[in-house]
Amino acid sequence: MTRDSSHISDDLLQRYHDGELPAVDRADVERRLDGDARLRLEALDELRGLLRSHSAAESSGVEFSSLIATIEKSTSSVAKAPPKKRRGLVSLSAFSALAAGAFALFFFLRAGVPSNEAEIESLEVSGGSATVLRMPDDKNPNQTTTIIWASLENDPGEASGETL
Amino acid sequence: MQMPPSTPTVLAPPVAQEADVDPAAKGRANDRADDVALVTRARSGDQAAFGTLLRKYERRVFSVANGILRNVDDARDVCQDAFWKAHNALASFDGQAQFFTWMYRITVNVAIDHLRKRRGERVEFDDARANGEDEGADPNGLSPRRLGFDPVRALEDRELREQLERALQQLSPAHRAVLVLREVEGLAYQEMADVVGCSIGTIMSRLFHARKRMQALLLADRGDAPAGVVQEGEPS
Repeated sequence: MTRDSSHISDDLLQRYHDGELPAVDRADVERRLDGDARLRLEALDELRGLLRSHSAAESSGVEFSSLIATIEKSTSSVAKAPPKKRRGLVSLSAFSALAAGAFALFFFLRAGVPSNEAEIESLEVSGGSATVLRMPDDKNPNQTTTIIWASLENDPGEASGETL
Repeated sequence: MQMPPSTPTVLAPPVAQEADVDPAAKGRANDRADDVALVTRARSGDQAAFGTLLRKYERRVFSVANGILRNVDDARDVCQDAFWKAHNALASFDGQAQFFTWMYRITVNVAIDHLRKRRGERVEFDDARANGEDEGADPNGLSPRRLGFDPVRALEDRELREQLERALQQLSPAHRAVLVLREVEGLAYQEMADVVGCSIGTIMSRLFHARKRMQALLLADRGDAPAGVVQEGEPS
């Protein structure tokens, strides 16, 4: 079977069909549309129509409201638990463990095994927490050493310690 | 270390294109401006704004996913995953591309990943096979013969829809992708190239082979010899 394709190539016809030609070329194609090109164009139109109808029929059977509800649930749960907050909590726990280690190290370096009379108190304060350590001074029994270690909840990476 | 407060970046305003001469283009420009405003709000934590985007594009995203996967349940999963990824990646949307092309790109990528997991094999999307050179495609051009179907009736014609489905199932994912993006969603070549991540030339080539293959498969399914196909050994 032979086909007269000398007038309009498939490539040109496809771009015409898809509305991708400049106005000048579009007019030129329309002027040259012959029987064969018109048939190819109609076949392309038919295929497009079939695919659109098929897609519409498939979508009509889908319950989108439940799909939307599922998506909104998953995305809103992400919004309620911002990563920064979660990172802060993790860092706070790690910081507490680090602080406890620092206290222990302090005792060993300063006075050997810590005295049983030392008191440790944890305080929840506005914007963060604080750990207070009070202990008798081994060299001067009449004095007490107090260490306060504070951490800010909004800035878990920052903590300050001060010896009074 | 004190972290700087997260202030949403104001997206660049959309560039007006042909808005003064083409009413349809003007409508698209307004649509784009609306999307940019919604994305800006969604990025600052406004869930209602994201919900508006979700409702606006859910059917189109589903259509693209289903067009590639040819499985409604899988398409639902991909649709959900694509919107979840988009929600978490809103900060990377710079407003230079249109929101829907950005959303389609995410959808296509998620769909391809889904196919890879489902099949456990490489999904051809960028090579010669995707372009149809080794799929036994019609060596000639586009069919000059109508199939004789009424597209309006296709909604109710179960047999016709089964024929279409059989033909679509035989196409490669790359061919199904360009068909749904162009024929169903009506994207321009440049938009399709942005979504799929290839050149306009590749898009045109894939589209040509996909159409030609669909025509041949549908004609063969009807019992007709595909137009222009020369049987092996038969003189032309």
